[in-house]
Amino acid sequence: MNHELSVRDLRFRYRRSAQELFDGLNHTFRPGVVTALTGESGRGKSTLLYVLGLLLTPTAGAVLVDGERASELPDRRRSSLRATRFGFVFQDSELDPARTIVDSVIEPGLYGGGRRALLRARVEELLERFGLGERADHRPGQISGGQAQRVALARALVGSPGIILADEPTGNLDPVNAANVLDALDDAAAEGRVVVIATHDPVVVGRAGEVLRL
Amino acid sequence: MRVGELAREVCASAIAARVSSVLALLVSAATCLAALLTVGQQAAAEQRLAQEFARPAARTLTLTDDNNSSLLSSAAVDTLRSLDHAERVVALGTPRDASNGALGEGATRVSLIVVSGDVDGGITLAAGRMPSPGAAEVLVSATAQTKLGLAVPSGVVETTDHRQWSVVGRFVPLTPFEQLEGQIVAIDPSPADANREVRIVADSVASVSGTQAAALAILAPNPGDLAVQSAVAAAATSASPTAQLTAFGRSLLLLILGAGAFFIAVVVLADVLIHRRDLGRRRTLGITRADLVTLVALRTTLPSALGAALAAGAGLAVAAARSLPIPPEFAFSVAALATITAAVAAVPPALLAAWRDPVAVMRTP
Repeated sequence: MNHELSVRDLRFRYRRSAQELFDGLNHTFRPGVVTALTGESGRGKSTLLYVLGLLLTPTAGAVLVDGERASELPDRRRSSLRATRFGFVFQDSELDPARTIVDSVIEPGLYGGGRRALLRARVEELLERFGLGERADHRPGQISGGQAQRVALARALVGSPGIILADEPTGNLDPVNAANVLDALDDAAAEGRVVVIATHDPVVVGRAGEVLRL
Repeated sequence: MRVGELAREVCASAIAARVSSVLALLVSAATCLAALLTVGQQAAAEQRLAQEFARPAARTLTLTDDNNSSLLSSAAVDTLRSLDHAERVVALGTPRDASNGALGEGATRVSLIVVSGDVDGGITLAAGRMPSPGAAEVLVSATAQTKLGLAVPSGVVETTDHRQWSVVGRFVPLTPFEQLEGQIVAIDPSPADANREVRIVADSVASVSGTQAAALAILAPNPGDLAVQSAVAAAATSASPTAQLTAFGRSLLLLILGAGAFFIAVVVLADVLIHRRDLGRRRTLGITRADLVTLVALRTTLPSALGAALAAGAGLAVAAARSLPIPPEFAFSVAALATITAAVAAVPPALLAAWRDPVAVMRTP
Protein backbone atom coordinates (compact mmCIF):
# COMPACT_ATOMS: atom_id res chain seq x y z
CA MET A 1 0.00 0.00 0.00
CA ASN A 2 2.94 2.37 0.55
CA HIS A 3 2.85 4.50 -2.59
CA GLU A 4 4.99 7.54 -3.13
CA LEU A 5 3.53 10.63 -4.69
CA SER A 6 5.70 13.55 -5.69
CA VAL A 7 5.85 16.53 -8.02
CA ARG A 8 8.90 17.81 -9.87
CA ASP A 9 9.33 21.37 -11.21
CA LEU A 10 5.55 21.63 -11.39
CA ARG A 11 3.87 24.47 -13.25
CA PHE A 12 0.29 24.73 -14.44
CA ARG A 13 -1.72 27.28 -16.36
CA TYR A 14 -5.35 27.04 -17.40
CA ARG A 15 -5.89 27.41 -21.13
CA ARG A 16 -7.46 30.87 -21.01
CA SER A 17 -5.56 32.18 -18.02
CA ALA A 18 -2.43 34.30 -17.89
CA GLN A 19 -1.63 33.19 -14.35
CA GLU A 20 0.84 30.38 -13.92
CA LEU A 21 0.48 28.29 -10.77
CA PHE A 22 2.93 26.42 -8.49
CA ASP A 23 6.12 28.18 -9.70
CA GLY A 24 8.13 25.01 -10.33
CA LEU A 25 6.97 23.20 -7.19
CA ASN A 26 9.00 20.24 -5.95
CA HIS A 27 7.49 18.15 -3.20
CA THR A 28 7.14 14.56 -2.03
CA PHE A 29 3.96 13.49 -0.27
CA ARG A 30 4.90 10.80 2.21
CA PRO A 31 2.88 7.70 3.08
CA GLY A 32 1.42 7.77 6.58
CA VAL A 33 1.22 11.55 6.66
CA VAL A 34 -1.83 13.78 6.16
CA THR A 35 -0.77 16.76 4.08
CA ALA A 36 -2.92 19.88 4.06
CA LEU A 37 -2.77 22.06 0.93
CA THR A 38 -3.68 25.54 1.97
CA GLY A 39 -3.37 29.11 0.83
CA GLU A 40 -5.47 32.03 -0.28
CA SER A 41 -8.28 31.59 -2.78
CA GLY A 42 -6.99 31.39 -6.34
CA ARG A 43 -3.61 29.99 -5.38
CA GLY A 44 -4.55 26.62 -6.89
CA LYS A 45 -5.29 24.30 -3.94
CA SER A 46 -7.97 22.32 -5.76
CA THR A 47 -6.10 22.61 -9.04
CA LEU A 48 -3.02 21.00 -7.45
CA LEU A 49 -5.25 18.24 -6.13
CA TYR A 50 -6.60 17.52 -9.62
CA VAL A 51 -3.09 17.71 -11.10
CA LEU A 52 -1.96 15.18 -8.47
CA GLY A 53 -5.01 13.08 -9.40
CA LEU A 54 -3.89 13.02 -13.04
CA LEU A 55 -7.04 14.82 -14.19
CA LEU A 56 -5.13 17.93 -15.26
CA THR A 57 -1.87 17.78 -17.19
CA PRO A 58 0.95 20.04 -15.92
CA THR A 59 2.15 22.79 -18.23
CA ALA A 60 5.67 21.91 -17.14
CA GLY A 61 7.20 19.41 -14.76
CA ALA A 62 5.61 16.13 -13.76
CA VAL A 63 3.63 14.17 -11.21
CA LEU A 64 5.42 11.00 -10.17
CA VAL A 65 3.63 7.98 -8.74
CA ASP A 66 6.12 5.47 -7.31
CA GLY A 67 8.81 7.18 -9.35
CA GLU A 68 6.94 6.88 -12.68
CA ARG A 69 6.12 10.14 -14.51
CA ALA A 70 2.40 9.39 -14.33
CA SER A 71 1.24 12.77 -15.64
CA GLU A 72 2.86 11.95 -18.98
CA LEU A 73 1.08 8.61 -19.42
CA PRO A 74 -1.71 8.18 -21.99
CA ASP A 75 -5.25 8.83 -20.79
CA ARG A 76 -6.13 5.14 -20.55
CA ARG A 77 -3.22 4.46 -18.15
CA ARG A 78 -3.99 7.55 -16.11
CA SER A 79 -7.64 6.46 -15.82
CA SER A 80 -6.48 3.06 -14.68
CA LEU A 81 -4.19 4.62 -12.06
CA ARG A 82 -7.04 6.80 -10.79
CA ALA A 83 -9.26 3.77 -10.42
CA THR A 84 -6.70 1.57 -8.69
CA ARG A 85 -4.20 3.72 -6.79
CA PHE A 86 -6.16 6.89 -6.03
CA GLY A 87 -9.19 7.54 -3.88
CA PHE A 88 -11.10 10.80 -4.30
CA VAL A 89 -13.24 12.62 -1.74
CA PHE A 90 -15.18 15.64 -2.98
CA GLN A 91 -16.57 18.56 -0.99
CA ASP A 92 -20.20 17.56 -1.48
CA SER A 93 -19.68 13.79 -1.65
CA GLU A 94 -20.86 13.51 -5.30
CA LEU A 95 -22.99 10.42 -4.82
CA ASP A 96 -25.21 9.28 -7.69
CA PRO A 97 -28.81 9.82 -6.47
CA ALA A 98 -29.99 6.87 -8.56
CA ARG A 99 -27.63 4.36 -6.94
CA THR A 100 -27.85 2.65 -3.59
CA ILE A 101 -25.06 3.31 -1.07
CA VAL A 102 -23.55 -0.09 -1.86
CA ASP A 103 -23.49 0.61 -5.59
CA SER A 104 -21.96 4.05 -5.02
CA VAL A 105 -19.13 2.60 -2.95
CA ILE A 106 -18.50 -0.21 -5.43
CA GLU A 107 -18.24 2.16 -8.44
CA PRO A 108 -14.48 2.89 -8.59
CA GLY A 109 -13.71 -0.78 -7.92
CA LEU A 110 -15.58 -1.66 -11.12
CA TYR A 111 -13.63 0.93 -13.11
CA GLY A 112 -10.45 -0.70 -11.79
CA GLY A 113 -11.48 -4.03 -13.33
CA GLY A 114 -12.94 -5.60 -10.18
CA ARG A 115 -15.91 -7.95 -10.04
CA ARG A 116 -19.00 -6.75 -8.23
CA ALA A 117 -19.37 -10.03 -6.35
CA LEU A 118 -15.79 -9.88 -5.04
CA LEU A 119 -15.99 -6.18 -4.15
CA ARG A 120 -19.21 -6.64 -2.22
CA ALA A 121 -17.46 -8.06 0.91
CA ARG A 122 -14.98 -5.17 0.96
CA VAL A 123 -17.82 -2.64 0.62
CA GLU A 124 -19.76 -4.19 3.50
CA GLU A 125 -16.63 -4.13 5.66
CA LEU A 126 -16.06 -0.43 4.90
CA LEU A 127 -19.71 0.49 5.52
CA GLU A 128 -19.60 -1.31 8.86
CA ARG A 129 -16.38 0.51 9.72
CA PHE A 130 -18.00 3.87 9.01
CA GLY A 131 -21.20 2.97 10.86
CA LEU A 132 -23.29 2.72 7.71
CA GLY A 133 -23.93 -1.03 7.62
CA GLU A 134 -27.67 -0.60 7.97
CA ARG A 135 -27.80 2.06 5.28
CA ALA A 136 -26.30 -0.12 2.55
CA ASP A 137 -29.46 -0.28 0.47
CA HIS A 138 -30.51 3.32 1.03
CA ARG A 139 -30.10 6.02 -1.56
CA PRO A 140 -28.16 9.27 -1.01
CA GLY A 141 -31.39 11.22 -0.54
CA GLN A 142 -32.20 9.05 2.49
CA ILE A 143 -29.01 9.77 4.48
CA SER A 144 -27.54 12.87 6.14
CA GLY A 145 -24.72 15.02 4.77
CA GLY A 146 -22.27 13.60 7.29
CA GLN A 147 -23.25 10.07 6.38
CA ALA A 148 -22.95 10.90 2.68
CA GLN A 149 -19.41 12.13 3.21
CA ARG A 150 -18.56 8.92 5.08
CA VAL A 151 -19.99 6.98 2.12
CA ALA A 152 -17.68 9.02 -0.11
CA LEU A 153 -14.76 8.06 2.14
CA ALA A 154 -15.74 4.40 1.89
CA ARG A 155 -15.89 4.81 -1.90
CA ALA A 156 -12.40 6.32 -1.88
CA LEU A 157 -11.06 3.34 0.03
CA VAL A 158 -12.85 0.51 -1.80
CA GLY A 159 -10.01 -0.30 -4.17
CA SER A 160 -7.47 -0.17 -1.31
CA PRO A 161 -5.66 2.75 -2.96
CA GLY A 162 -2.37 4.08 -1.63
CA ILE A 163 -3.25 7.73 -2.23
CA ILE A 164 -6.31 9.64 -0.97
CA LEU A 165 -7.04 13.09 -2.41
CA ALA A 166 -9.71 15.11 -0.63
CA ASP A 167 -11.05 18.46 -1.81
CA GLU A 168 -12.51 20.43 1.13
CA PRO A 169 -13.99 17.21 2.59
CA THR A 170 -15.35 18.98 5.67
CA GLY A 171 -16.55 22.12 3.88
CA ASN A 172 -20.24 21.27 4.18
CA LEU A 173 -20.20 19.46 7.53
CA ASP A 174 -20.91 20.42 11.13
CA PRO A 175 -17.97 20.14 13.58
CA VAL A 176 -18.93 16.68 14.84
CA ASN A 177 -19.26 15.15 11.39
CA ALA A 178 -16.16 17.04 10.22
CA ALA A 179 -14.19 15.52 13.12
CA ASN A 180 -15.43 12.04 12.15
CA VAL A 181 -14.32 12.52 8.56
CA LEU A 182 -10.91 13.81 9.64
CA ASP A 183 -10.53 10.87 12.02
CA ALA A 184 -11.24 8.53 9.10
CA LEU A 185 -8.65 10.31 6.95
CA ASP A 186 -6.11 10.06 9.82
CA ASP A 187 -6.85 6.33 10.02
CA ALA A 188 -6.34 6.01 6.24
CA ALA A 189 -2.94 7.71 6.59
CA ALA A 190 -2.06 5.57 9.62
CA GLU A 191 -2.57 2.52 7.39
CA GLY A 192 0.29 3.76 5.21
CA ARG A 193 -1.52 5.88 2.68
CA VAL A 194 -0.60 9.24 1.23
CA VAL A 195 -3.44 11.59 2.22
CA VAL A 196 -3.63 15.06 0.68
CA ILE A 197 -6.40 17.49 1.67
CA ALA A 198 -7.07 20.77 -0.08
CA THR A 199 -8.56 23.05 2.57
CA HIS A 200 -8.84 26.52 3.97
CA ASP A 201 -10.22 25.22 7.28
CA PRO A 202 -7.80 26.04 10.14
CA VAL A 203 -9.02 22.97 12.08
CA VAL A 204 -7.98 20.69 9.23
CA VAL A 205 -4.67 22.52 8.83
CA GLY A 206 -4.09 22.25 12.57
CA ARG A 207 -4.60 18.48 12.57
CA ALA A 208 -2.46 17.83 9.46
CA GLY A 209 0.93 16.18 9.83
CA GLU A 210 2.31 18.40 7.09
CA VAL A 211 1.15 21.70 5.61
CA LEU A 212 1.96 22.79 2.10
CA ARG A 213 1.15 26.46 1.74
CA LEU A 214 0.63 27.69 -1.84
CA MET B 1 -13.99 -2.33 -16.83
CA ARG B 2 -15.10 -5.92 -17.29
CA VAL B 3 -17.57 -6.51 -20.13
CA GLY B 4 -20.17 -8.07 -17.84
CA GLU B 5 -19.94 -5.21 -15.35
CA LEU B 6 -20.14 -2.68 -18.19
CA ALA B 7 -23.27 -4.41 -19.53
CA ARG B 8 -24.84 -4.28 -16.07
CA GLU B 9 -23.87 -0.63 -15.75
CA VAL B 10 -25.47 0.08 -19.15
CA CYS B 11 -28.77 -1.48 -18.02
CA ALA B 12 -28.73 0.27 -14.64
CA SER B 13 -27.85 3.57 -16.26
CA ALA B 14 -30.60 3.24 -18.92
CA ILE B 15 -33.16 2.58 -16.19
CA ALA B 16 -31.85 5.45 -14.04
CA ALA B 17 -31.99 7.98 -16.91
CA ARG B 18 -35.70 7.34 -17.46
CA VAL B 19 -36.58 10.48 -19.41
CA SER B 20 -33.83 10.15 -22.00
CA SER B 21 -34.41 6.39 -22.26
CA VAL B 22 -38.13 6.87 -22.89
CA LEU B 23 -37.38 9.61 -25.45
CA ALA B 24 -34.86 7.38 -27.24
CA LEU B 25 -37.41 4.56 -27.24
CA LEU B 26 -40.13 6.81 -28.67
CA VAL B 27 -37.89 8.36 -31.33
CA SER B 28 -36.61 4.97 -32.42
CA ALA B 29 -40.13 3.53 -32.48
CA ALA B 30 -41.42 6.50 -34.48
CA THR B 31 -38.53 6.19 -36.94
CA CYS B 32 -39.13 2.49 -37.38
CA LEU B 33 -42.90 2.84 -37.72
CA ALA B 34 -42.64 5.73 -40.19
CA ALA B 35 -40.15 3.76 -42.28
CA LEU B 36 -42.35 0.68 -42.23
CA LEU B 37 -45.57 2.43 -43.16
CA THR B 38 -44.07 4.59 -45.91
CA VAL B 39 -41.07 2.74 -47.30
CA GLY B 40 -42.87 -0.53 -46.63
CA GLN B 41 -45.72 0.61 -48.87
CA GLN B 42 -43.20 1.70 -51.48
CA ALA B 43 -41.50 -1.67 -51.27
CA ALA B 44 -44.82 -3.44 -51.52
CA ALA B 45 -45.80 -1.35 -54.57
CA GLU B 46 -42.42 -2.09 -56.10
CA GLN B 47 -42.89 -5.77 -55.40
CA ARG B 48 -46.38 -5.72 -56.93
CA LEU B 49 -45.07 -3.96 -60.04
CA ALA B 50 -42.20 -6.42 -60.36
CA GLN B 51 -44.62 -9.32 -59.95
CA GLU B 52 -46.90 -7.81 -62.59
CA PHE B 53 -44.02 -7.56 -65.05
CA ALA B 54 -42.79 -11.03 -64.11
CA ARG B 55 -46.15 -12.67 -64.98
CA PRO B 56 -45.96 -15.07 -67.94
CA ALA B 57 -48.28 -12.87 -70.00
CA ALA B 58 -45.73 -10.06 -69.84
CA ARG B 59 -42.98 -12.43 -70.90
CA THR B 60 -44.83 -13.97 -73.86
CA LEU B 61 -43.85 -13.57 -77.48
CA THR B 62 -46.40 -14.69 -80.08
CA LEU B 63 -45.35 -15.46 -83.68
CA THR B 64 -48.22 -15.93 -86.15
CA ASP B 65 -47.92 -17.21 -89.70
CA ASP B 66 -50.78 -15.27 -91.30
CA ASN B 67 -49.44 -15.90 -94.81
CA ASN B 68 -49.39 -19.71 -94.54
CA SER B 69 -45.70 -19.61 -95.45
CA SER B 70 -44.93 -22.79 -93.44
CA LEU B 71 -42.22 -21.03 -91.45
CA LEU B 72 -43.51 -22.50 -88.15
CA SER B 73 -42.72 -26.15 -88.84
CA SER B 74 -42.15 -28.71 -86.08
CA ALA B 75 -38.40 -28.48 -86.78
CA ALA B 76 -38.57 -24.72 -86.27
CA VAL B 77 -40.40 -25.26 -82.99
CA ASP B 78 -37.64 -27.62 -81.82
CA THR B 79 -35.04 -24.97 -82.69
CA LEU B 80 -36.94 -22.31 -80.76
CA ARG B 81 -37.12 -24.60 -77.72
CA SER B 82 -33.32 -24.63 -77.60
CA LEU B 83 -33.07 -20.82 -77.22
CA ASP B 84 -31.26 -19.86 -73.98
CA HIS B 85 -33.97 -17.70 -72.50
CA ALA B 86 -37.03 -19.63 -73.77
CA GLU B 87 -38.77 -20.99 -70.67
CA ARG B 88 -41.39 -22.82 -72.78
CA VAL B 89 -42.43 -22.90 -76.41
CA VAL B 90 -45.92 -24.05 -77.39
CA ALA B 91 -47.04 -24.35 -81.01
CA LEU B 92 -50.69 -24.24 -82.07
CA GLY B 93 -51.96 -25.55 -85.40
CA THR B 94 -54.77 -24.18 -87.52
CA PRO B 95 -58.10 -24.66 -85.69
CA ARG B 96 -60.75 -26.82 -87.28
CA ASP B 97 -64.35 -27.51 -86.29
CA ALA B 98 -65.36 -30.66 -84.44
CA SER B 99 -68.63 -31.95 -82.99
CA ASN B 100 -69.83 -34.84 -80.84
CA GLY B 101 -69.57 -37.93 -83.11
CA ALA B 102 -72.52 -39.56 -81.38
CA LEU B 103 -74.91 -36.71 -82.17
CA GLY B 104 -74.27 -36.47 -85.92
CA GLU B 105 -75.21 -33.49 -88.15
CA GLY B 106 -76.38 -30.33 -86.37
CA ALA B 107 -74.41 -30.90 -83.18
CA THR B 108 -72.67 -27.89 -81.63
CA ARG B 109 -69.28 -27.26 -83.11
CA VAL B 110 -66.17 -26.64 -81.07
CA SER B 111 -62.73 -25.83 -82.48
CA LEU B 112 -59.99 -28.46 -82.31
CA ILE B 113 -56.35 -27.42 -82.29
CA VAL B 114 -53.23 -29.55 -82.63
CA VAL B 115 -50.71 -28.59 -79.95
CA SER B 116 -46.98 -29.38 -79.97
CA GLY B 117 -43.79 -28.26 -78.28
CA ASP B 118 -43.76 -27.87 -74.48
CA VAL B 119 -47.34 -29.10 -74.09
CA ASP B 120 -46.91 -29.39 -70.28
CA GLY B 121 -46.33 -25.65 -70.24
CA GLY B 122 -49.61 -24.94 -72.03
CA ILE B 123 -52.14 -27.23 -70.43
CA THR B 124 -52.47 -29.50 -67.44
CA LEU B 125 -54.49 -32.70 -67.18
CA ALA B 126 -57.58 -32.43 -64.96
CA ALA B 127 -59.21 -35.82 -65.63
CA GLY B 128 -58.54 -38.96 -67.67
CA ARG B 129 -55.18 -39.43 -69.34
CA MET B 130 -52.93 -37.65 -71.80
CA PRO B 131 -53.43 -38.62 -75.48
CA SER B 132 -50.84 -41.01 -76.92
CA PRO B 133 -48.44 -39.07 -79.17
CA GLY B 134 -49.59 -39.20 -82.79
CA ALA B 135 -52.79 -41.13 -81.98
CA ALA B 136 -56.25 -39.79 -82.89
CA GLU B 137 -56.95 -38.85 -79.29
CA VAL B 138 -57.93 -35.50 -77.79
CA LEU B 139 -58.55 -33.67 -74.52
CA VAL B 140 -61.49 -31.37 -73.98
CA SER B 141 -61.74 -28.33 -71.76
CA ALA B 142 -64.58 -28.14 -69.24
CA THR B 143 -66.41 -25.61 -71.47
CA ALA B 144 -65.90 -27.72 -74.58
CA GLN B 145 -67.14 -30.81 -72.71
CA THR B 146 -70.36 -29.00 -71.87
CA LYS B 147 -70.79 -27.66 -75.42
CA LEU B 148 -70.23 -31.13 -76.86
CA GLY B 149 -72.81 -32.60 -74.47
CA LEU B 150 -70.40 -35.05 -72.90
CA ALA B 151 -71.34 -36.09 -69.35
CA VAL B 152 -67.78 -37.27 -68.77
CA PRO B 153 -64.59 -36.44 -70.69
CA SER B 154 -64.95 -39.54 -72.83
CA GLY B 155 -66.45 -40.28 -76.23
CA VAL B 156 -65.79 -39.48 -79.85
CA VAL B 157 -65.60 -36.18 -81.70
CA GLU B 158 -65.63 -35.83 -85.46
CA THR B 159 -63.94 -33.06 -87.43
CA THR B 160 -65.34 -31.59 -90.63
CA ASP B 161 -62.98 -33.80 -92.65
CA HIS B 162 -64.92 -36.79 -91.16
CA ARG B 163 -61.92 -37.85 -89.09
CA GLN B 164 -62.86 -39.27 -85.68
CA TRP B 165 -60.98 -38.54 -82.46
CA SER B 166 -61.33 -40.33 -79.13
CA VAL B 167 -61.85 -38.07 -76.10
CA VAL B 168 -59.48 -39.44 -73.39
CA GLY B 169 -59.52 -36.69 -70.75
CA ARG B 170 -60.11 -33.12 -69.70
CA PHE B 171 -57.50 -30.33 -69.54
CA VAL B 172 -57.13 -26.94 -67.91
CA PRO B 173 -55.18 -24.28 -69.83
CA LEU B 174 -52.21 -22.63 -68.11
CA THR B 175 -51.29 -18.94 -68.26
CA PRO B 176 -50.83 -17.48 -70.90
CA PHE B 177 -52.78 -20.08 -72.88
CA GLU B 178 -56.21 -19.25 -71.49
CA GLN B 179 -57.53 -18.96 -75.07
CA LEU B 180 -57.53 -22.78 -75.16
CA GLU B 181 -60.41 -22.80 -72.68
CA GLY B 182 -63.49 -23.76 -74.68
CA GLN B 183 -61.50 -25.82 -77.18
CA ILE B 184 -60.44 -29.36 -77.93
CA VAL B 185 -56.71 -30.12 -78.16
CA ALA B 186 -54.89 -32.90 -79.92
CA ILE B 187 -51.24 -33.46 -79.08
CA ASP B 188 -48.86 -34.22 -81.89
CA PRO B 189 -45.11 -33.84 -81.36
CA SER B 190 -44.48 -33.65 -85.12
CA PRO B 191 -47.58 -32.42 -86.89
CA ALA B 192 -47.52 -32.87 -90.63
CA ASP B 193 -49.08 -29.46 -91.18
CA ALA B 194 -47.07 -26.38 -90.28
CA ASN B 195 -48.21 -24.54 -87.16
CA ARG B 196 -50.15 -21.33 -87.37
CA GLU B 197 -48.93 -19.82 -84.15
CA VAL B 198 -45.99 -20.27 -81.78
CA ARG B 199 -45.89 -18.81 -78.30
CA ILE B 200 -42.56 -18.40 -76.56
CA VAL B 201 -42.55 -17.61 -72.84
CA ALA B 202 -39.19 -15.99 -71.97
CA ASP B 203 -37.61 -16.64 -68.56
CA SER B 204 -37.72 -12.94 -67.64
CA VAL B 205 -39.24 -9.75 -68.93
CA ALA B 206 -35.75 -8.45 -69.64
CA SER B 207 -34.97 -11.29 -72.02
CA VAL B 208 -38.12 -10.89 -74.16
CA SER B 209 -36.44 -8.50 -76.55
CA GLY B 210 -33.38 -10.70 -77.10
CA THR B 211 -35.52 -13.79 -77.49
CA GLN B 212 -37.69 -12.04 -80.09
CA ALA B 213 -34.63 -10.98 -82.09
CA ALA B 214 -33.17 -14.49 -81.93
CA ALA B 215 -36.46 -16.14 -82.95
CA LEU B 216 -36.96 -13.84 -85.92
CA ALA B 217 -33.36 -14.28 -87.03
CA ILE B 218 -33.89 -18.05 -87.08
CA LEU B 219 -37.37 -18.17 -88.61
CA ALA B 220 -38.00 -15.12 -90.76
CA PRO B 221 -35.13 -13.45 -92.51
CA ASN B 222 -37.58 -11.06 -94.17
CA PRO B 223 -39.52 -8.66 -92.00
CA GLY B 224 -43.23 -9.17 -92.42
CA ASP B 225 -43.08 -12.94 -93.01
CA LEU B 226 -44.38 -13.48 -89.49
CA ALA B 227 -46.67 -11.33 -87.37
CA VAL B 228 -45.14 -10.65 -83.96
CA GLN B 229 -46.90 -9.74 -80.74
CA SER B 230 -44.80 -9.26 -77.66
CA ALA B 231 -44.36 -7.40 -74.37
CA VAL B 232 -41.07 -5.86 -75.46
CA ALA B 233 -42.40 -2.35 -75.04
CA ALA B 234 -43.72 -3.24 -71.62
CA ALA B 235 -40.37 -4.76 -70.75
CA ALA B 236 -38.61 -1.60 -71.82
CA THR B 237 -40.89 0.62 -69.78
CA SER B 238 -40.99 -1.67 -66.76
CA ALA B 239 -37.42 -0.86 -65.80
CA SER B 240 -38.17 2.83 -65.47
CA PRO B 241 -40.98 2.88 -62.85
CA THR B 242 -39.36 0.05 -60.90
CA ALA B 243 -36.06 1.90 -60.76
CA GLN B 244 -37.83 5.14 -59.84
CA LEU B 245 -39.76 3.43 -57.06
CA THR B 246 -36.57 1.81 -55.75
CA ALA B 247 -34.69 5.12 -55.76
CA PHE B 248 -37.59 6.94 -54.13
CA GLY B 249 -37.96 4.27 -51.46
CA ARG B 250 -34.23 4.40 -50.72
CA SER B 251 -34.25 8.20 -50.44
CA LEU B 252 -37.32 8.11 -48.22
CA LEU B 253 -35.75 5.52 -45.92
CA LEU B 254 -32.54 7.56 -45.67
CA LEU B 255 -34.56 10.69 -44.93
CA ILE B 256 -36.54 8.98 -42.16
CA LEU B 257 -33.43 7.39 -40.65
CA GLY B 258 -31.60 10.73 -40.90
CA ALA B 259 -34.41 12.49 -39.06
CA GLY B 260 -34.41 9.72 -36.44
CA ALA B 261 -30.64 10.00 -36.04
CA PHE B 262 -30.90 13.76 -35.58
CA PHE B 263 -33.51 13.48 -32.83
CA ILE B 264 -31.60 10.67 -31.08
CA ALA B 265 -28.43 12.78 -31.18
CA VAL B 266 -30.33 15.74 -29.67
CA VAL B 267 -31.77 13.52 -26.91
CA VAL B 268 -28.34 12.06 -26.07
CA LEU B 269 -26.69 15.49 -26.20
CA ALA B 270 -29.27 16.87 -23.78
CA ASP B 271 -28.78 13.84 -21.56
CA VAL B 272 -25.00 14.29 -21.57
CA LEU B 273 -25.30 17.98 -20.71
CA ILE B 274 -27.85 17.38 -17.95
CA HIS B 275 -25.85 14.52 -16.42
CA ARG B 276 -22.45 16.17 -16.88
CA ARG B 277 -21.57 15.87 -13.18
CA ASP B 278 -22.42 12.19 -13.21
CA LEU B 279 -20.14 11.69 -16.22
CA GLY B 280 -17.44 13.91 -14.68
CA ARG B 281 -17.57 11.87 -11.46
CA ARG B 282 -17.15 8.67 -13.44
CA ARG B 283 -14.09 10.08 -15.23
CA THR B 284 -12.60 11.27 -11.94
CA LEU B 285 -13.14 7.87 -10.34
CA GLY B 286 -11.30 6.19 -13.20
CA ILE B 287 -13.61 5.11 -16.02
CA THR B 288 -11.75 5.17 -19.33
CA ARG B 289 -12.95 7.26 -22.25
CA ALA B 290 -13.66 4.12 -24.29
CA ASP B 291 -15.82 2.66 -21.52
CA LEU B 292 -17.65 5.97 -21.10
CA VAL B 293 -18.40 6.22 -24.83
CA THR B 294 -19.62 2.61 -24.80
CA LEU B 295 -21.74 3.28 -21.74
CA VAL B 296 -23.43 6.38 -23.17
CA ALA B 297 -23.93 4.89 -26.63
CA LEU B 298 -25.29 1.58 -25.37
CA ARG B 299 -27.59 3.08 -22.77
CA THR B 300 -29.25 4.88 -25.71
CA THR B 301 -29.13 1.84 -27.99
CA LEU B 302 -30.85 -0.40 -25.46
CA PRO B 303 -34.17 1.53 -25.27
CA SER B 304 -33.89 2.31 -28.98
CA ALA B 305 -33.71 -1.40 -29.80
CA LEU B 306 -36.74 -2.00 -27.60
CA GLY B 307 -38.64 0.82 -29.32
CA ALA B 308 -37.70 -0.45 -32.77
CA ALA B 309 -38.77 -3.99 -31.89
CA LEU B 310 -42.12 -2.78 -30.56
CA ALA B 311 -42.62 -0.60 -33.64
CA ALA B 312 -41.77 -3.50 -35.95
CA GLY B 313 -44.42 -5.62 -34.23
CA ALA B 314 -46.94 -2.78 -34.33
CA GLY B 315 -46.09 -2.02 -37.97
CA LEU B 316 -46.67 -5.63 -38.96
CA ALA B 317 -49.98 -5.63 -37.09
CA VAL B 318 -51.09 -2.40 -38.81
CA ALA B 319 -49.94 -3.76 -42.17
CA ALA B 320 -51.89 -6.96 -41.61
CA ALA B 321 -55.00 -4.98 -40.60
CA ARG B 322 -54.72 -2.78 -43.71
CA SER B 323 -53.75 -5.70 -45.96
CA LEU B 324 -50.38 -4.15 -46.78
CA PRO B 325 -47.99 -6.82 -47.97
CA ILE B 326 -45.03 -5.89 -45.71
CA PRO B 327 -42.84 -8.97 -45.25
CA PRO B 328 -41.67 -9.68 -41.64
CA GLU B 329 -38.03 -9.78 -42.74
CA PHE B 330 -38.41 -6.23 -44.08
CA ALA B 331 -39.87 -5.11 -40.74
CA PHE B 332 -37.03 -6.74 -38.81
CA SER B 333 -34.44 -5.23 -41.17
CA VAL B 334 -35.92 -1.76 -40.65
CA ALA B 335 -35.92 -2.32 -36.86
CA ALA B 336 -32.26 -3.37 -37.00
CA LEU B 337 -31.45 -0.35 -39.16
CA ALA B 338 -33.26 2.01 -36.75
CA THR B 339 -31.31 0.49 -33.83
CA ILE B 340 -27.97 0.82 -35.62
CA THR B 341 -28.87 4.40 -36.55
CA ALA B 342 -29.61 5.20 -32.89
CA ALA B 343 -26.30 3.64 -31.81
CA VAL B 344 -24.35 5.62 -34.39
CA ALA B 345 -26.23 8.86 -33.58
CA ALA B 346 -25.38 8.45 -29.89
CA VAL B 347 -21.64 8.25 -30.52
CA PRO B 348 -20.86 11.97 -31.18
CA PRO B 349 -22.52 13.17 -27.91
CA ALA B 350 -20.85 10.24 -26.13
CA LEU B 351 -17.47 11.36 -27.48
CA LEU B 352 -18.23 14.88 -26.27
CA ALA B 353 -18.97 13.47 -22.80
CA ALA B 354 -15.74 11.46 -22.77
CA TRP B 355 -13.57 14.36 -23.91
CA ARG B 356 -15.04 17.06 -21.66
CA ASP B 357 -12.71 18.24 -18.96
CA PRO B 358 -13.96 16.46 -15.82
CA VAL B 359 -12.40 19.10 -13.57
CA ALA B 360 -14.31 21.92 -15.26
CA VAL B 361 -17.49 19.84 -15.01
CA MET B 362 -16.97 18.95 -11.34
CA ARG B 363 -16.11 22.50 -10.33
CA THR B 364 -19.12 24.02 -12.10
CA PRO B 365 -22.20 24.01 -9.85
